[in-house]
Amino acid sequence: MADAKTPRHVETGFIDVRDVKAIGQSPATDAARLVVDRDPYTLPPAEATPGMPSLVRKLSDSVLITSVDKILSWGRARSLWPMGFGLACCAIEMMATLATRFDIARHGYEAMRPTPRQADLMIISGTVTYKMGLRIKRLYEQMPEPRYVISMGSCANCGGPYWKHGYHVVKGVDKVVPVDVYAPGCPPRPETLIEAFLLLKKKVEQERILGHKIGSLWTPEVTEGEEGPETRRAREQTWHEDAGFNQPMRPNVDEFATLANKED
Amino acid sequence: MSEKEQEVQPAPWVSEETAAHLLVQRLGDKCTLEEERLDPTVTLDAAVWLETARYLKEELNFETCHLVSGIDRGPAEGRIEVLYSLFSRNRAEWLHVRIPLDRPEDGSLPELDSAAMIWRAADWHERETYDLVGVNFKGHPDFRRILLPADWEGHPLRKDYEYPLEYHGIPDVYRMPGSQLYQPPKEEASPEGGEE
Repeated sequence: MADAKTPRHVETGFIDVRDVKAIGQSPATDAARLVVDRDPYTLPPAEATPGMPSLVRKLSDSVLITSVDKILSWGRARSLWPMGFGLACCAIEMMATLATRFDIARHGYEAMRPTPRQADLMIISGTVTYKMGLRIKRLYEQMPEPRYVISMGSCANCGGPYWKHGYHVVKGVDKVVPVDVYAPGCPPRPETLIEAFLLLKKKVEQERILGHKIGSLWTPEVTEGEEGPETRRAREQTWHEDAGFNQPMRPNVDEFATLANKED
Repeated sequence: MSEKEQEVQPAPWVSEETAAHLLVQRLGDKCTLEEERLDPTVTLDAAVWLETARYLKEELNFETCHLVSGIDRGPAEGRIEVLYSLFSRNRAEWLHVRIPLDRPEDGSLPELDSAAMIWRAADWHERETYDLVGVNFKGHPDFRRILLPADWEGHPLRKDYEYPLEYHGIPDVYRMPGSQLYQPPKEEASPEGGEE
């Protein structure tokens, strides 16, 4: 259990159903946000929560009140299905990420799909040639929305070592498909790819799907950083013209350098 | 016959039993032995290549074709070479056959008889040579590009090849003038050039 003095909704954006005092204090969170018990199997003793209604106390084990939008994004962010294809040596690191030592299944991204129609994430793992670039574009168009792209490695990011003398290499896969996260490295270590996955997870969590549907009861304000299908589609249409809009997230290179240089 | 043998001056390290020597004996001035090579290497006239290939396969037991290379010597020399690397298990020896071709200045491709129906392994190698260097192999059973897209223009391993600025709308941001990342080509100080 967290410290009782710290209101949990301040930290997490969630309201504990047992934290009765928090309800009503913040209308913004009350309106559609949720009641989450981080530890549903441990209830505080009744003496510690004198104001809690007995019904709430009874149900807080098993009932979760949230917005559908939030729970959808929560689920989608933790179960991205990547498309299983490799382009070059980065694919070896991608396979290592999938395998037991790094085990991306911990985060729920291990379901590599052999067809674009079942996948919602495309990992560009390696050098993209012009010949392959057209095929990548077609594969991307076959993926159902919402769809995401991780550009893995220097070749996919900017052309890599082929930037000058590669007559056949696409100088950055973002010339072909819109990229959400760039993973630097040649090739990136599996930790970098995992970091890219986690950055993408943050991005997906921010998205609101139902709130943008026509006729929905409640349309949230899209703050900066949040993204819905409409904004995303607009961005996909104009991504190459308006590169400054909603910059893709990049892993913190300095942080990795610090970790790499750090001696035990 | 003895006079002809005296004219031929094989490299000292090539014994008279090697296929290279036999080939020089048979073809005379259409075939010359190259010196200072690790393996026996002959330079062959393109006109006699097809019959020589059959002779090598059927009479001299060169049953495997390991590699077909294309070499562009550049527009100054005006020559493109095709190099067949052959091996005979029976004779336990290598033979490299270099066939120089004229490099047409008008951009058309030099022509050579295809050996793909003699050594089936030469099929894809000749397609690759056509793809990257630009040699037209006559009589090839399936003559098309093998690595690059079918609609690619030019042959990239030519010395005077010009890189494409875009391919189907995908720009080369480092070469396209006006791009933010445009890198102007450097002035090459060396007169030879083309050494990239």
